[in-house]
This record gives sequence, C-alpha cells and structure tokens, in this order.
Amino acid sequence: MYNIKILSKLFAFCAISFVIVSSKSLAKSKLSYLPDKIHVKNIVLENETMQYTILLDRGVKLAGAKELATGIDFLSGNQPLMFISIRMPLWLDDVGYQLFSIEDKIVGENVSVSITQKSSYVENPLIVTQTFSLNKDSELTWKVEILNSATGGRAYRDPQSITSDISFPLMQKLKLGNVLEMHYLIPTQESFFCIDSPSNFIFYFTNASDPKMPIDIYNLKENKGIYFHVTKSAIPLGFSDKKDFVSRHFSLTQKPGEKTNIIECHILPHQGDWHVAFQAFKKYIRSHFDFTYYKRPIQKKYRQQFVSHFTFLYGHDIYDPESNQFRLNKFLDEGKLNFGGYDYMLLWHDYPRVGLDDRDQFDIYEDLPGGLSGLKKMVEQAHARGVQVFIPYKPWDIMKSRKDKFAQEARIIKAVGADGIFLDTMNKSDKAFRDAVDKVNPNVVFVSEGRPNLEAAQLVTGSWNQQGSASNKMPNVDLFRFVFPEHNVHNINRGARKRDELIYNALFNGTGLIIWEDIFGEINRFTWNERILINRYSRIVHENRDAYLSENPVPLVPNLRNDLFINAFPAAEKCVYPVYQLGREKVSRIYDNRLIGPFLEVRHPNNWHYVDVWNHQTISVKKKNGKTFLIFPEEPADVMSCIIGMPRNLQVKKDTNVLHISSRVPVENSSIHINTVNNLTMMEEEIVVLPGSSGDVDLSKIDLKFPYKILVKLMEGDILKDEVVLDLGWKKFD
Amino acid sequence: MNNKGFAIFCIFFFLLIFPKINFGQAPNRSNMVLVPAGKFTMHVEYRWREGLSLDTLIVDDRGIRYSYTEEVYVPAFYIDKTEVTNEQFKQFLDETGYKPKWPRNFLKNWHNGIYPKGKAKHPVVWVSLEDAKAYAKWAGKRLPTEVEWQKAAQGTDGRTWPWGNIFDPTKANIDSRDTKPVGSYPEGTSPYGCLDMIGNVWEWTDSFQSDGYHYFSWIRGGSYFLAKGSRWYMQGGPITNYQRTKFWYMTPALNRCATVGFRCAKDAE
Repeated sequence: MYNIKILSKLFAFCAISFVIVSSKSLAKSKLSYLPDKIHVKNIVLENETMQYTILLDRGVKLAGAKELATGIDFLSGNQPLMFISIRMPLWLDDVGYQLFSIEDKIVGENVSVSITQKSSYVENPLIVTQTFSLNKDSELTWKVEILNSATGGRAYRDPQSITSDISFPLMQKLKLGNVLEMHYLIPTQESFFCIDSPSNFIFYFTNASDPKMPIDIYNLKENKGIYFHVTKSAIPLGFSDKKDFVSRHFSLTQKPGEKTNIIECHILPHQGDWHVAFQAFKKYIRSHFDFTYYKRPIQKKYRQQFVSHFTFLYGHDIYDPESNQFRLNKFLDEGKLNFGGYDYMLLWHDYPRVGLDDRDQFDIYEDLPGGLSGLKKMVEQAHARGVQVFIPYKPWDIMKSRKDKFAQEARIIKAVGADGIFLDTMNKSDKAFRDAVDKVNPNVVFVSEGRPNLEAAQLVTGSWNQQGSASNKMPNVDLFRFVFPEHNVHNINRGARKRDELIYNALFNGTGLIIWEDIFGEINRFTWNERILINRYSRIVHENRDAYLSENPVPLVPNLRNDLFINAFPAAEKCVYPVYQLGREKVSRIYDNRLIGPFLEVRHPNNWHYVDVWNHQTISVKKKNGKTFLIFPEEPADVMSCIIGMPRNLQVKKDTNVLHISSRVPVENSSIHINTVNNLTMMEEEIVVLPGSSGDVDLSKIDLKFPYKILVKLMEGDILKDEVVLDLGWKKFD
Repeated sequence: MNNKGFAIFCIFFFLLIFPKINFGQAPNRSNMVLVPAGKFTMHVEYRWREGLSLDTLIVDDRGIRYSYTEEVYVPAFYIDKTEVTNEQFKQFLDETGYKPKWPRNFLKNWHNGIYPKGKAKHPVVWVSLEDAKAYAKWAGKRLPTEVEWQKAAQGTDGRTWPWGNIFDPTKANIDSRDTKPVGSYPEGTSPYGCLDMIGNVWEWTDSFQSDGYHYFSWIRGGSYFLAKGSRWYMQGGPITNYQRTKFWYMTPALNRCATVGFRCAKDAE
C-alpha cells in the first residue's frame, strides 16, 4: 500500500526509527450510515486498514480516524475536527448550513461520499459540497467546492457577487498527547530556510505555484501524527511560519453561478514522525511527473558531475592575450590543483559586453578566438579530459528581434559540440526550445539559474541553488534534492566571502558546487581553506556517488542527539551519512556536550563497518538489545563528519613494516589505493595503487608524514568499496 | 595685383577653402583645439553593474552608484576637434601599410581596403585600441588620457553634457542606426570646441590597464547605438561627460566594435 515499497528499502539499508501504519493488501472499502441513511448522524468510510468517521452535526466534522490493526484512534481525546467554516460578512455572520443531500459512490477500491449543504437563509445562497473518499493508500481525500447560487429577489433585483470568509480550523486544534511534545512540519513559500528550529521543520521546496508540502503534526513520545497534504487549492495556502498556520482566514469572492474548488487534500494518520508525510508527498509528486528528459544518456553523465566552473572568458585564467587563445589545458590543470578538478565548465562569453554594439549573444561566439571551430576544438579538448562544457542562453538579449533564437542556440550547440545549455536568469524552459535543440542533438542538458517549479523541472534537469542565506546555512536541507535525486542541483553564492557552510551544505545534501571566482570581472577568490574543503568534498562525493545518487535519500534521519543533523544516502552495499553538529562552538568543559559516544541507530547486516571519510576516523559500533549503534570514539576534528557504512571486505595485517592486504570477496575492476592524510589539510595524498584486490606494501618505502595516518581503500573503478583507516602514529583507536 | 601677390593670395585662398589639407606627417593642429593648462575637478560616476565596478577604491556607501572626485592639474594639450575619420585612417593605411597582428574584424565595414561609399567623413570604427594607437603615432599624436578627454568635453564647470546641463537629443547622434559625418552637430560643441564628444561613437582613451586578471580600459561618450530590450545590456546611447564605462579586453576581433572610434591628443609643449 502506501509507500511500503520505498520504506521497506529504507529499512533494509539505513536507520529509520519510525514505524509506519502497517497496511496489508489492498483492502476492500465500504461505507456505512449510522444509525441509518434517513437519520444519518455518522458516515463511516473504511477499508481493512483504516476507519474514518464523519460526524454530521452543524457542519461536517472528522470525528474518528482509527487504525484497525492496532485499534488506535488518532483523534481520540480531540474535539471532532471541523473542516471548513464559511462566514458571511456583517449581520449574516454565523448563518447555519443545513444538510441538503448525500450521495455515495464506489469506484473500484475507492469509496466516496459527497455531502452538500445549504443555508436556509435566502441571503446566503452558498452551496457547499464536501466529498470524502478513501483511496487505495488508506488516505482520506477531502474536496470542498463552493457554489454561489444567488438569484435575484428580496432587496436585490439581480443576483449578487458574494464574498465569504473561509477558515480552516483543521489540524490547528489537533492535540496529539502533550502539547509541548508536539512537532510540526510546515510548508512555506516565504522562507528559504529548510529548518526553522530543530523541533519544527519548515521546508522550502520550489515556489508558490507548486503543490504544497504536507502539513504534518506529530508527537514522537506518543509515536503518532497526522498529515494533511494539499494537492490543489484555490486559496493561497502558503505559510511563512507556525504562527501563520495557527490562524488563517481566506476571503473568497464569487460571481453568481460561480463554482470554486476550494481545496483538495489527503489526510492520513500515521505512526512515527514527518518522514511518513514526506514520503507520501514524494510519491504523489513523482507520480505526476514526466521523467522523459531524465532518462537520456547525457543526463546520466551530467548527474555524476559535481564540481562545476563558471568560466568568464575575458579573464586570463582561461584567455591568454599573448597567444590570443584559450589556454584550456593549463586552466584545467590549475583547476585540478586548486579544487580537485572540474567536472564541467560554463563558457561565459557575452555579458557584460553585449549591448556595446549590435552583436548579440549568437554573433559574439563567432568572434571568439578561432570562431566556432576554435570553440569546437576547445570543447573536444575538454571532453578528452572528461569535462563537460555548457554554453549560456540569454532570454533577455532581444536587440535583434530574432524570431529563431531557439534555432540559433541549437546552431551554436551543434557547431561547438557543447553538452548543455545554461538558462541565464530563467527558472524554466520552453518546450519549443527543447524541441529545437533536440533536432540537432537530443543529448543536451538544460540547466536553469533559478530553481524550477515542478512543471519546469520536467524540461530542466539541473539547476543552481543560489538561495543565498539558505544554501549558506547549515544544517539546511534542500528537499527538492531529496524528492528528485535525478535532478542535478548546484550550490552557488557568488557574492559570499565565507563559503564553508555552502561547501558543507553540498556535502550534507549531496549537491554539486560551482566554482566562480571571476564574476564578470569582479574577482572573489575562494580562500585556501575553502579550496581544501572543496578538494575533500569532491573526492568524497565522487568516490561515493553510487550511494549519493541513490533514488531514496532520507532527509534528517532521526538520531540519538538533539544537536546532530544527519542525512542518509542508502545504496545496496553502502550508506553515506553526512553528519553536522549544530552548536559545536558551545561545547566546553562546563557545558559538556562533546560529540562522543553513541549517536545513531543503524540497521545493516552484521558484516558492515563504518568510516568517517571526512575526518579519517574509524567509527565504532556498539550492539545492545539486538540494536546497533554507531559511536564516535573521539570527538570528530570538525563540525562536519561524513560516515560511510559498507560491508567489511578488506583485511589489512601489519607485519612490522609491511602491510598485507587482501579482500574477502573479490571485486571486479578493482584496485587497492594506499593514501596518506596530510595532517595540515586533511586532504588525501595518493601514494601507491595496487591492481586487483590484494597485495603487500612496504611502509618503509612510503614517505610517511606525521602522524602516520594511512588509508587503505578498495576501489571498483573510481568507486569506494571499502576503506580501512590505520593510525600508526601517536594515537590509536579501535 | 602683381604675380607675386596673386600667388600669395592663391595660397591663402586654398588654405581657406581646404583647411584640412595635410602637409605631410607633421601634426596638423588646424583640426585640433587647445585646452589650456589648469586645475580640473574630475568627477567620475558609473552605474553599478556586476563586472563593471571593479575599481575597489571607488565605493559608494549607498552601494548603488560608484563615483569619485579628485582635483588634478592638467597641462595644456591639443585635442582633435572631431573623431578620426575613415578618410584620415585610409591615408594612414596608404602611407604605412599598417597590418594588425590579429586582423579579424579590422575595419570590418570596409571593402578591399576602401571605406564604404559616402562615409569618408564618418568616424572610423572596427579599430582596436592598438590600431588607434598606431594611427596616433603615425599622426605624431597620442590618445587622450581619460582626464584629458573629460576636460575637453566638460570644460571646468562640471557640466553634464558638452553643451550644458540640459539633455538635448538634437545635439548629438545618440540613438540612431548609424554613425554620421563628424561635426554633424555643431550645436553640441564643448566649451573648447570639440564636437561629437557625446554620441556618434564611443572613444578609446589612453587608460589601458591590468587588474591582475584582465585587461581593461575606460571608454567614454556613448554612441549612436542603444541596445533595447534589457537592463542587462551594456548601456549605450547618450553617456554623460562624467560617466565612464569599463571595456573588458579579450580577443582583438571582439575588441573591435562598430561603435567605438577615437580622437587624438597632443601635448601643447
């Protein structure tokens, strides 16, 4: 039933402590009237999993939501939830609505009932129809429609427009256990911040025109919650914070005869926390999404690109004025030395020059060194080094009133052999644009500067995350990244003078990062420290992209500490846990909140072990009462950790100065990498590579630097399969 | 009138009707105006645009408009009354056989070494800063510095436009389809008698420099061309006396433009 498939995978590979409402096979749904249809007081909608009771008493209220397997009524102890309240202005306040008609319908597994109400006051001609259906995921779907049925008469000769005031007490008065222990997941379009406070999550997703995130109210102590997922609404249901959510009124003006679908939403009580709501939301969004462009081969390659360079072609990093040529190879070499290498580059040729004369964006390409064929040669050089090349498109460049701009861009794409188009200032693409480019080459990626909404994300398969304060702040979660792991998000904050949190955020969310130092001529260099962080980040996301690109990443897995934020990226034989400690600066001898000891429960096979590849530290495991806990044996060296869980495969034995390395299970296309850790930068230094999955290494022949930290890594191609951290220096942990 | 007197009269008469006649490479100051020595209050502004504000010494606390004011002593100099024309540039080519190292787009609007028909008196365009400097050297002149250019355009009273403080679109070629013969707007004259300081074509100044990562210089005066449709375009058309625009250098093909020309200057002593 609902999200069982997704969640069962999650259970297998990563730590989720919540338990969902169990629901077995698709249930037969039924509907009953109590005491009978003529004298109806209650309508009961049920299947084999859930039983919902609707109370008809001066309105329509949800009075019961019982999980049949456990007998828990999630609404017990609550007043029935009133769904909608409509008030007329002025003296017509508090007018009552009487039952008008009830119609029920059973279609397949879905059973539904429509309840229509009308006021007996002729001044109030609104007809309210509420439809409840029990869907196959045991969710209760609720739709409300309001019709202004005004006719002329009485004081008015003609039918009148009516303004009504609608409020939703739903969820707002809900009590789940102790109020102080209740938590809220609230969608917001106002704030870019994903986490408002550790106990109340506010998620930014795309923008206001998209389906809303579910509101979820839950109590971890009681282990239960209810979500309310709006899929359509005629009223602006955006919340900026919890306060906003608690009291909302909407004004609706309807012309005579006008019918408005006020809201359509899904409701489901659940055990556990907001992750259930998130999974339902994810499933809903993805089932209404066209992944055509994500299935193309170019997207697969592009999706594995993390570190990108914004290349302002006027800078001497790339343009050599002496030879009047682009110095691509040197540029890429320098990128390797500074940042660990670029996966793709965006060639920026026109702004801020364009507009000086009548050469527009397409003309300017022709005048670059070597013209289009020179560019083509450069793209081929980049491709030979595994670097993709993107070119920009400027929708605002309209001086020539060209009618064939899409075809022009397609012409350039074809001529230079670029891999993708960067949509400057845009957050969407035209289908006609994609079609025009498809004509010359279907293997071209569209990337937008702005965050696309759901509709646009079907055409635009990558985008920048330049939400400034949001992407700069830790531990923010970019939920879009978790709903669409196929979409390539790149963190960028061009004006930032401090980017460590931006880089942590990319490691935390598994997003890409853009290196942009020459901002159309303004230089904003990355600091030496940021270069180191990016080098380390880049190695980790590349070597662990098998897990980072998992289709089921889990945002903010529950853990044992209040100050830890952990995402999970599970794959079949690996799980990546980026860990961030909030408030580490407060840790002191007096306020002892050191990050030592157990912090996360995991559920993996017994042969798994765990390594912090950010701080190069072995993570211990403790088993208690059949549960497995991860332990920090010492405080990590940084506010961030990145823990990789993998089946233990490598065996490393040290015999005086010789390491004997072997693997329990053979790995195809494998090699053993012996890296040391630079104790000043924490960057890995590649020392020895042994082909295959075993071999001996004489340490006396390795230039060991204090404090002798050695990493033995089993690689399959360039993917990490197992790692052993050896501390041969002044400290030892095991 | 005797023969000798007639000959002298003829010479003066010819000088009168052909004032621009050039006697060899010696600099001809007849088409130049003198800007006397003196203090000049140089006030420069430019609109904030990403990439156009890289003069870190100039930071406005509002963060919108970048500007600076400084008082400088400018020695006396001569400056061309008008922009260098196609005709003049052709003479330079004919006499020197000048060929740029990277010729792409050099005099792009010419055909077979000849400027377009009817455009003899139009300012020469599609010339890079190097091309302009080569011409100036041949003419025994140099390019004006930015401060010289501004003083020649503005005089000493800080005026916004060469002709005064009130904008007047009839006094410059600022939003049209093409260049016009130099001196087409005699009413747009500057206090020292320079013409077309605003509009017609942007003018190179002797301000080529490096910031360590790029080469750039300041161009002044705006041009006939005004790109329309977006605020992201480099602002063209009428550019005030005190407004500077940063020109990022890249390949010469791109550095040569349909809208950028130049005029020359020369030390008075």
